Amino acid sequence: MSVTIRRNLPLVITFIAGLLAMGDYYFKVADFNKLVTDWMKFVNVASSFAVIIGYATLTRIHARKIMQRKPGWYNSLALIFAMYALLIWGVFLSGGKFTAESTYTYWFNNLYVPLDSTIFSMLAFYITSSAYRAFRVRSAEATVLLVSAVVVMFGRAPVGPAIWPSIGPITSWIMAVPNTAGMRGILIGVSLGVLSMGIRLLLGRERGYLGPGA
Amino acid sequence: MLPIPTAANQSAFIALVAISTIMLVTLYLSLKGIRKPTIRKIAGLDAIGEAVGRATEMGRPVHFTPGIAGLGTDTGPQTLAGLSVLAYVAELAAKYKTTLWTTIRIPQVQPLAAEIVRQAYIKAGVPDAYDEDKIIYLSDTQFAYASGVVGLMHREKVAANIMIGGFWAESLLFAEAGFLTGAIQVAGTAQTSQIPFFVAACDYCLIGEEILAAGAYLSKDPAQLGAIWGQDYAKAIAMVLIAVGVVLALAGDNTLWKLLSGPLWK
Repeated sequence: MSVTIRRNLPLVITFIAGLLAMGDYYFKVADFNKLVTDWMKFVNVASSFAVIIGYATLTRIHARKIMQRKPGWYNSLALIFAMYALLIWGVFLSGGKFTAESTYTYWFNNLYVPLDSTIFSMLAFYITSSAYRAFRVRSAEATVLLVSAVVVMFGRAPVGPAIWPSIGPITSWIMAVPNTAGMRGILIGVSLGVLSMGIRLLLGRERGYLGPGA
Repeated sequence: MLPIPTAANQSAFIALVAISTIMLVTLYLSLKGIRKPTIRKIAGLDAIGEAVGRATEMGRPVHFTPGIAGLGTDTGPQTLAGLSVLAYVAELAAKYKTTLWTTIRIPQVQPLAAEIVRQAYIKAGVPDAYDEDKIIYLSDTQFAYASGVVGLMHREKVAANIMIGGFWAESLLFAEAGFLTGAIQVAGTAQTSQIPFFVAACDYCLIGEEILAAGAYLSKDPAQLGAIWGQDYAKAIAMVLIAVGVVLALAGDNTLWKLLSGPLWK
């Protein structure tokens, strides 16, 4: 494939796909909408093959770790075993039930879900330590952050309104007015930024995602 | 007969056409050199060079993640913005001969990221230094991916942690892991719920639209800068509409609200 085609083909596909998706959102024309729906199904199927690439990468990296007996190789062994055991069970041994099969569900609910919850629960500790660093009074802005955060924390915790009932409405005001206004300001900027990026992508001017020098 | 936008989308369609036209005009003016727009300094993007340089001096690796947003979702542009920054980071890493770890959650992003990093090493003149095993797909599941990233950051003792893209609850896990390894951290996301975490825990934070302007900022491409310039006019229109809307709402008139929420015609 020539360099010109290799460079321009993704841009042409991006342009056509972008216009199709936009048209589908704004216009209701039965045949056109069906075409886009079919196109999206094709995209979903095609992109699913990327999972195979992901599996291949993981397998290669961890198989090499095991073979070379690198530090922590037994973790790689556990990963490969768990990954392929669930894959084989879910696809080939589930009798067509796939992820709804009882053995698969048992291992998923009793192995994966607790681990997932454990990682999520660590957030509570991380929030505390990062909040401590963020709330140190170093500037006028940090002082405003500290004061509003303390008010909101007390207002949201049961102890706050128990000591001073008026803190509840103050907390609600901080969240509903200054906080929402700030967030909406950011959202308007993001929306316009996405639109600007969309135009650059459709015109083939935003090529960073194709690599340097693309 | 030409199709017309659905009733609920009519005002949005008109706004899209109007703002797109403004952006196309500014893009054209900039591309033709009729007007040369400038872009304000974005400290977070300037700091990336410093972060990679510091990692090089310390002889420790750099970690990059383009976030966990799928390409086919409305948060997909954040991932593309992250990949634009990855191209820049990979180029710096290749130039300085610093190890770059890129962790991926979305399978579709893996081949894109691998190609970007490979191209960067070729451009830097060190194609042999490219290691495909350093662009690693960890898991499609949020916290499995998060634990993989945190583990990698601790094991490899990363000295620079760059996170640009769409992030959710895992943002603080990454940022705190980076803090614990003593990494200089540059983060950016358009997810409003996660921006406070990055602001609190990272050295530099790109807020909202800044990550979407990263490609233009780093490439200095006149066309891209032109489109960013058009955004300023669109923001001015939004500000005028907000001010007029507030005044009308206070006067008990909801004409503008009706106009903006449609339908405009049958």
